[in-house]
Amino acid sequence: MIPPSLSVDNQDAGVNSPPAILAVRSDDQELPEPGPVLFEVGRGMLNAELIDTDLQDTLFVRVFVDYTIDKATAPRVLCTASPTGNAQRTVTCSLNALCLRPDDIGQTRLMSIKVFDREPLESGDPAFQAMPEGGLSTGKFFQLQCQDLPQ
Amino acid sequence: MKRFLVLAPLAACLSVPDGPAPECKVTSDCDTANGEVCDEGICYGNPPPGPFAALVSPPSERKNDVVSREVELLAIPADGYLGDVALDAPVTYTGQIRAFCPAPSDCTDISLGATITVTRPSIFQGGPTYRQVVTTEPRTGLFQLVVPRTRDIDQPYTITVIPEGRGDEPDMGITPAQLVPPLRTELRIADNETGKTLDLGGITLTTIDGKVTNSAGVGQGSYRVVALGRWDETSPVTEVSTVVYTGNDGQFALRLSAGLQGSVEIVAKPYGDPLQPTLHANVSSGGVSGKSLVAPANLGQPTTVDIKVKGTATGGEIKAVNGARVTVAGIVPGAAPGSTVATFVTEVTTGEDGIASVTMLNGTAIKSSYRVSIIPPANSTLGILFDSPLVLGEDPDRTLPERIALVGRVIDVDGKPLNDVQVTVRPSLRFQWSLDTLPQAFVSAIPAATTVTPDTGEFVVYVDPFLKDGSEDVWGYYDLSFEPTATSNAPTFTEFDVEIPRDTNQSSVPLADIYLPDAAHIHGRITDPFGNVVEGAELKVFRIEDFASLTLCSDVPHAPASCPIPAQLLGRGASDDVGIVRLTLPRP
Repeated sequence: MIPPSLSVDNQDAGVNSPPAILAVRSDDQELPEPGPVLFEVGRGMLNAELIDTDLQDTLFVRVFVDYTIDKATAPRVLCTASPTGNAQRTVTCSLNALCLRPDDIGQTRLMSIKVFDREPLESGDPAFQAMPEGGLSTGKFFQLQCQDLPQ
Repeated sequence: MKRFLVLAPLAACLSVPDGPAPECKVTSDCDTANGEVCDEGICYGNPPPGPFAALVSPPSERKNDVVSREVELLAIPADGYLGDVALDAPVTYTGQIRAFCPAPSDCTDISLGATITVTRPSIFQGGPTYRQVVTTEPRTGLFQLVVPRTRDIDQPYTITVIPEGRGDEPDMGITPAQLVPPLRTELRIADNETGKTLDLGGITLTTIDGKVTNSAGVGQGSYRVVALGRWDETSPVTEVSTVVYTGNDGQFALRLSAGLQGSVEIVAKPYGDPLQPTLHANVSSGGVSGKSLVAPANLGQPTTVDIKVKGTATGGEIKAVNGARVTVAGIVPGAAPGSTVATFVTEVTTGEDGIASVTMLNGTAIKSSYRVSIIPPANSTLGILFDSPLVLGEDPDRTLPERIALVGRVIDVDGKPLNDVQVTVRPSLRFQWSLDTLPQAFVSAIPAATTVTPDTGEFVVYVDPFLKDGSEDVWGYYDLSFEPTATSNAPTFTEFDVEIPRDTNQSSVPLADIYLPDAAHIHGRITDPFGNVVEGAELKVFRIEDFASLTLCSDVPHAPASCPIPAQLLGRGASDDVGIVRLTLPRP
């Protein structure tokens, strides 16, 4: 009798589970969807709690502002969560370039935080979000408001 | 028996990835002399010396029944167990906004949609500002704030009400932002309060009226006009008036918010066609009548310029840069103090061909003033270009310089290279505050570069060595943050103010090995005010600095007067399903 392997560290190359964002926390709170959420220009950190049952996958977090297919913009924030052997993991991202002065001040923007299980490619479609074949991504969306720093 | 025969070989094949080896089995495996105890296979305790402050915040789904709490001078026991850390019960402030307009305007039937921002400084210096943003119910103006109670030691909340409808172009119909200006007020909310009102507008507010014209004095339509100003000396510049979208006569009448400090800047920004510059004029916040914002003569016609952004790839070939942010700015200064300044700013992201198509005005008044600034995409090996002259008719293409490589290695407390550490590098406050306003804004918009260490613990991150601020090169300082994985038994760590050597011929900077400090594990249990455990809450621990001893703000020429240096975050953790939160702090 040859029993099936119950190994969880060898992934089936043909099946990929999507990564997901469980929670997003700023310096002072967990961000409520869909916001609005308020950030200051040039500072702050974002902590993302992620899950992926593919335990070997490195997860790539990208934060886009007002990204549309017609007007694709490069990510303003990026960070990487290495595998830990657990499905859940956290990663901290620097938000120094999230809010841009002066255009974002006083405006409401759409902030999309996406997690990819393959590193997004420099080129491809959709721009800045294309991945090698088989890659999956999910995201959360927030209304972003930005304010300048105190003087 | 048959069942047993099947299960036995199955169990033999069960394989789980190796987790970290337990640090301890019994307390005697730990540093008991310094108070450590063994729990869950981890030696908890022997925390770094304080003083500390902590912030415990609820999960978003509990935001209406528990609120965050700050704890100053948090004592961490020698055994590392914080005990129960309780979230606070909230107080609610329920009310309604009302709008008052002077005749002939009528606010009776307008929407009362608005955004209300609630902020309060932390009780410890450099701690995170409390922030909450809520929107009103547009038909009724009703709102509810659910916030931490204001105690005697707390500063009041700053409440800013921004009426809706402030878009770059007019909406259908009249919006609240066109009728009433923003409101700034302060509130102490010590108990639940209902039936409160926040009144926007009023008949005593200062007005500024005038006209947007072309150089021949003809009124200009399709301008969005608003005043920028400050609520107080330390607050940032923000919109502090009603919004006007000019008709063909160019007339505007702005109503200013009450309680402004200093002068205000009137900004008239065009929308739609034809292409026009933005107009600016400074006026007294005491009110002005008949102010003209005059577009300069000889602005010319729109012309489109394709700016190709390229750089040297790691293989040595020249390649187009995809995803670069290209900003082109031009300015026509005012003829006299107080007269209109015209600016033209446009921003485009390059495509895969590296081209940014920018439409600009080609008239003699402005064409010699254009400057281009470029920020490459995050993690690029290519560098920034700041304030480079762009002369119409000459080659617009730009080649980005190569960045300098910061090369190092992360070593754990046992002297072994540490893999899977996220390394993040960003311009330090010393670098940013060494720069004047415009270059400072530019540097703050450069995305932080990141990488992850392989098994060798080595890392390479690319940064801009300096920024040319006028005729001076301001050399860079960078903060390098190291975030190991949660299972690595190492704390997060930041190396502040790494200085770039003043050598323009250097392409890389070898850094001394980065030794991550020893890890001090602490834990506790997060509860609601009634002692029930809370899952998904977060605890952050900060080091309380002796800010008086920090000389940064006096060392650099452009630090904000309030010197807002953030407190150093030592560790953070989220509570599990039984409320337990675990943090890893660096020992000095």
